[in-house]
Amino acid sequence: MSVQFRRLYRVFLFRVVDLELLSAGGDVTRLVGQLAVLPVLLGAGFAFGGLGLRERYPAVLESAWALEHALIATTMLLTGLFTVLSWEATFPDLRDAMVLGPLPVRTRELFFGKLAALCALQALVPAALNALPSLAWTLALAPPSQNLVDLVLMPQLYRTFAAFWLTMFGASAFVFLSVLALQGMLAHLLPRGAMLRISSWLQLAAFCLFLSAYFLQPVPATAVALADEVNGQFLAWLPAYWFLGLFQQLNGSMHAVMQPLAVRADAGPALVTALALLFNLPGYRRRLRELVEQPEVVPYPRRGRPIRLYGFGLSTAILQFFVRSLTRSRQHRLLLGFYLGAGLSTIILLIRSGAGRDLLSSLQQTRTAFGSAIVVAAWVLGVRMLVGLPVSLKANWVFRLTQIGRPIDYHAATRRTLLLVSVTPVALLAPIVFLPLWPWQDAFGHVLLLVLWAVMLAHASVIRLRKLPFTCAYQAGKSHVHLRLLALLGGVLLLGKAAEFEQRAIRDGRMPMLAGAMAGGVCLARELARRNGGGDVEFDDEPEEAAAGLGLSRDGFLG
Amino acid sequence: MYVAYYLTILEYTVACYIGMLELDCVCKRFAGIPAVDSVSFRAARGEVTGYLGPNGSGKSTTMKIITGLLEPTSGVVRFDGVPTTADASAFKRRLGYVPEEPHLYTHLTGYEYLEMVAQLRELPERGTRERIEEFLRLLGLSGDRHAAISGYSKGMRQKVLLAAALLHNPDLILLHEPFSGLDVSTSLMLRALIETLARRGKVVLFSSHELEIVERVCSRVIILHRGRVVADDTIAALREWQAAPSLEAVFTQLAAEVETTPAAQAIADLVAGA
Repeated sequence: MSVQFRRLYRVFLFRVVDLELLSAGGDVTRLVGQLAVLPVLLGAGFAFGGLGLRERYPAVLESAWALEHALIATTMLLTGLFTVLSWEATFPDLRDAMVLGPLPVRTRELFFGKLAALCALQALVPAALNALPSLAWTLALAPPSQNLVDLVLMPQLYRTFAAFWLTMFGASAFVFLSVLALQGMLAHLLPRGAMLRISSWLQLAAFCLFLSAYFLQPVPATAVALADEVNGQFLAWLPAYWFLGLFQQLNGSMHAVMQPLAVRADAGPALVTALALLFNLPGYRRRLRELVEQPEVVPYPRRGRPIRLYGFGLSTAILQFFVRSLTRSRQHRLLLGFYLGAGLSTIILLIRSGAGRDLLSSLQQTRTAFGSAIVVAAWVLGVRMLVGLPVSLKANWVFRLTQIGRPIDYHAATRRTLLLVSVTPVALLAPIVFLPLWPWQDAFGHVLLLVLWAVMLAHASVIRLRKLPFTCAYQAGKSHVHLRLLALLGGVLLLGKAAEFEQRAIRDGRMPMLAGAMAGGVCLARELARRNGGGDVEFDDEPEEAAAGLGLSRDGFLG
Repeated sequence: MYVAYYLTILEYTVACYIGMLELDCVCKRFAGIPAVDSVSFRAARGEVTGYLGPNGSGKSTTMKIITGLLEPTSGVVRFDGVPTTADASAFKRRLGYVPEEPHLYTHLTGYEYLEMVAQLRELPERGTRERIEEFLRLLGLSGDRHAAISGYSKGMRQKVLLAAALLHNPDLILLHEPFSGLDVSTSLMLRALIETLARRGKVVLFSSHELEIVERVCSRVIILHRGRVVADDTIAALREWQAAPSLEAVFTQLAAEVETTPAAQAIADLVAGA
């Protein structure tokens, strides 16, 4: 390893995650802790699942397939999501081009430095998820032994352990390198302008693909089901099954039906590694040059008249700022997509799981009502969470310097903006979806309730909100994520009952009463938001303390 | 007779304070370290006041304190005799600021940015749009007004900042390195603009390292060194006081932290020894 590579690796390691997303008052360690807790907790669940397997060796090897597949698929999903979050982190950016371009840095070192930094961070995801399951499953899948010494000395134990980690890292690497190969191929084939336009949509598509592949793929039942010709053809296209086959192969517990899948797992990572290197390495220097050569000023296509609902004042300024940022920022679109994806995943999970079947009536209309309420909640929550994703913290000074109105006016403008952005799509899309689907009275009633639900949630989401959109960052350790998740879980369970209640009210002609109650909820949420809308506008200030206040950040000390 | 006497004093006092920026013993400490130490000066209507100092002398901190972006540890900033914090909104309506670094929302276009600033400043819709277009035209940004600021050069960004600072016809104009990145013709235009704005009764506080421009444009200069004011007078008076031929020589005597020629010599020697 050259000195250049080591230096570049260390520099890039800390630049993969955009630290501007973190508030000045936030805590990086807590953020990392919060991010790590999710895979570790998921892993603990899988570890318990492994220990709870009832069959004994060798029957356990086949009965564990479903859990093994679920763990492999979860590893691939989390790696996929991290890959989407660090989209294009392997490619050089303008700062790399300007800073490293004039230096005698070899392109190969630059590429491998970035790749190594990203791989090191990527490896943390499968490591955190699989740390506990690797131990539990190694013990669960081991042949029976007389005592602990026999168990520890058993070669099969270590073989299973090694097979487990090789499979998980292989599955992770496959996902990561597949995306890298695809990006490299497009960058190779398309002009830079077209690539930039496509890339943001590709990122969203990859996100949707990972989520839908995870939630929609079938769970393996028995060897007989897997041996079915039609099933076999279908499963051959699902990489999680390839790695299930690979695990059986490495573990020495290969079943005949897994053989073709294992072959794909052997070939898949090798193929995508070759493609990733083939498409990325030769084009890396060209990409650096293109970054510097790209046309300096490119006009935006004009798209009609700008939104002017509130005249020419503060509310319009904030609404336009919100909409323009949302439509032009890939990160913001992705976050909204993440919340929508989470909503859709919840629906699929609940409908497919036993708990969901208990919770929901078998009526198709009730299920659709429940699903739509979840999607609306996810959308409103997503819009609210966007507020905390900054565009450019350093540019916030203009809001502070032009703050000539009362803070309450700023809060009201933010509330109006969030209300409009949250409710308008629901009011426009719900009739299009439900009027052709249901009898018009049912559809009308449901659309009305859905809009009221969106309004109520939008009002409730801005209670105590004192920030302007995109001017503050995430405050790790101060956002009480765990409480919000619990509240959300409770809300989902209640929504199932609410959907049944709504359908009964529609059938019994008690719809006006229900709409009235919802309107009452809207008024209450609105009043709460208004009453708690006082206080100064909060900005994410740079810390004034010590060195930061002396402007040393300009010298590169503090990013 | 006494009434007339007191009225005359009152009129005189008011005349002194109207259109005047005044800093009174302003201090700013960061974790106990003084960045600005008992800074007091006045900048009057109709004149361009230069605010000079070497790197780290406290110019940026003072500018941020005047704008209200930073709170002073002690001391008061007054405009027209009224503390700027007494009615911060009213003060901000009269303030135009060109910051040292061109931090802008780069996903907006030049036109959109100026429109947003106008809306935030609650300017009337009628006439503002034309005003923005005119600013963009006069600053040579018309052709790029619908392009994202992320694609603008440093000079173009500086022009957007300048337009945003002047859009609302402010009474107090703070210019922090306004010539940074501007081409020759725009620099000449800006120099004339600063003089014209001062002649039209604006209070202009102008901070720059370009001493030649300062010497041409400013009527008075304040020199800051290690957070303290070391000189505050007209350029002619300072030259006479220090017996120096130019402002550059005055500055070198009062605030330069290194002997320039020996330092340059040492660096050249270091380069040769690499």
